Amino acid sequence: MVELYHVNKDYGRGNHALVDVNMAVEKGEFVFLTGASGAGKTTLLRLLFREEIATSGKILVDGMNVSTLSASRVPKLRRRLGIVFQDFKLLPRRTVFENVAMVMEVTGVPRHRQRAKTYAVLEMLGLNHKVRAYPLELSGGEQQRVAIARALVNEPALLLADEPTGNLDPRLSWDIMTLFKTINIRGTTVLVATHDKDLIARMGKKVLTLDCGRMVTH
Amino acid sequence: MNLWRNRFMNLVASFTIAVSLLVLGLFLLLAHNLGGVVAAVGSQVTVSVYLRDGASEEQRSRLMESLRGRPEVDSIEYFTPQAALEKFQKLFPNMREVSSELEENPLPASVEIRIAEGHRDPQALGRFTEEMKRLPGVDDADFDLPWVTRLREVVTMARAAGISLGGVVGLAAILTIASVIRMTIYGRQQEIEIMRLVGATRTYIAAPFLLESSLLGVLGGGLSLGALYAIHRHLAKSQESLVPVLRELLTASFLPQSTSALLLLLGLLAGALGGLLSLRRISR
Repeated sequence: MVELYHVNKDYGRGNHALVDVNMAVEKGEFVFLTGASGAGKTTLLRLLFREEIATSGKILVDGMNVSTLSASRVPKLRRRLGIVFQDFKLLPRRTVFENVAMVMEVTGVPRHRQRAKTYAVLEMLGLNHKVRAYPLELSGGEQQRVAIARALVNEPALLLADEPTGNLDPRLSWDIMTLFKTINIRGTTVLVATHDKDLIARMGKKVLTLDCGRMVTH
Repeated sequence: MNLWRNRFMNLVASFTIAVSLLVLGLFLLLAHNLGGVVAAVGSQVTVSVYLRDGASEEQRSRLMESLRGRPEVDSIEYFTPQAALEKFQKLFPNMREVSSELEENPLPASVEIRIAEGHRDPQALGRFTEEMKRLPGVDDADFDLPWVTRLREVVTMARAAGISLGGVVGLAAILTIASVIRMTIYGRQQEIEIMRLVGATRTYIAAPFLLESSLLGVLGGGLSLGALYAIHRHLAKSQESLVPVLRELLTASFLPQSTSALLLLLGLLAGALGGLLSLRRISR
């Protein structure tokens, strides 16, 4: 699902964010990406959804060669991914429903299918009673669940999460992780970047560790 | 809708477009009416052919005959020396005494040729006149064109002035639209970022902004047309004001539909261009 071969990312002037990274995530796997702040976790994820371009090396995501992907095909790549961020990235002036349905609006899914799928995913995440609410009326955990709903509504092959529990307390964090587990069991490949060691330990999944831009365990 | 949310800035943007198109429109209106004057005067372009004193009746009728068949000739009129004198006295009443004191009529018989359309440019007229001079029985021939030519130059100049002045203000208008749209984009940065992340194409994101800027442009075009028409009507009604000639040239008739449509189209283009300029803000 995800393959990296000798990937380097420099930000100029000897600032090496990633150094010769090799890794693979199989289809259907649940993998943690960990390391201290600044180790390169976020950079690596941003390379996967092509918000950044690798300085050298080859990156394959769901069969697409991201390292040589033209700008016009980036939307095609992103439609196959679900992305979750630490700061949720919800639109404050749109309701929960609109925030989730937007993903399908953007890709031209017909209205009635948008409604059906949005309600389905919100129900799965236990948010059906918050459909008309605005993000700022929700708790942090609920906001993150809306963000996850948005990431899942297109039924992505791969779910990427960058510190998804960074703004949540331990109990809510555990809820979110359980949710990811469920999603993974349903067939979605999950890659979660986090520095929360306790959480990783409790989950008992495959772990990849970055240290100063280098992959230290495999 | 976004247009309403930023209504003040949008109004400013439309307004600058309107001002630039109004400047252009005023000059175009001047040129349009001047063009009308030129056409009217142009139809009076004549070549006068003066007959030799001793020209025979036969020479005269042959001359008239050959003139009628020529493409340059719209119509001809023959003036006997007597008729020429009367015409002279009518044109210059103050000189009546001088002319009546003359013992002999000094004016020759002449043929006035009204020149057909398409043959009124100076060069063709010059050639035609030279040819006339060589005909038997003809003493001299001339045409008075210089001031018509000058009037044409004025029309061209008015048009050029309108286009260049309007162009400069238009450029400012395009930049204003661009910065207004840029502000709108800035205000929606978050939304655009999320749309990009969930796989919206650049076109999908850019289209609404482009539509908005184009709308602002058309609105500006409409405003300029409205203002131009208001000025046109107002001047027609008010008595005093302006140099009479200028007033005449602004009120004689309004811009033809095609030119009005052109102003709207220019507004649309200016808006779209401003939008495109600002869209470089949306990265990748």
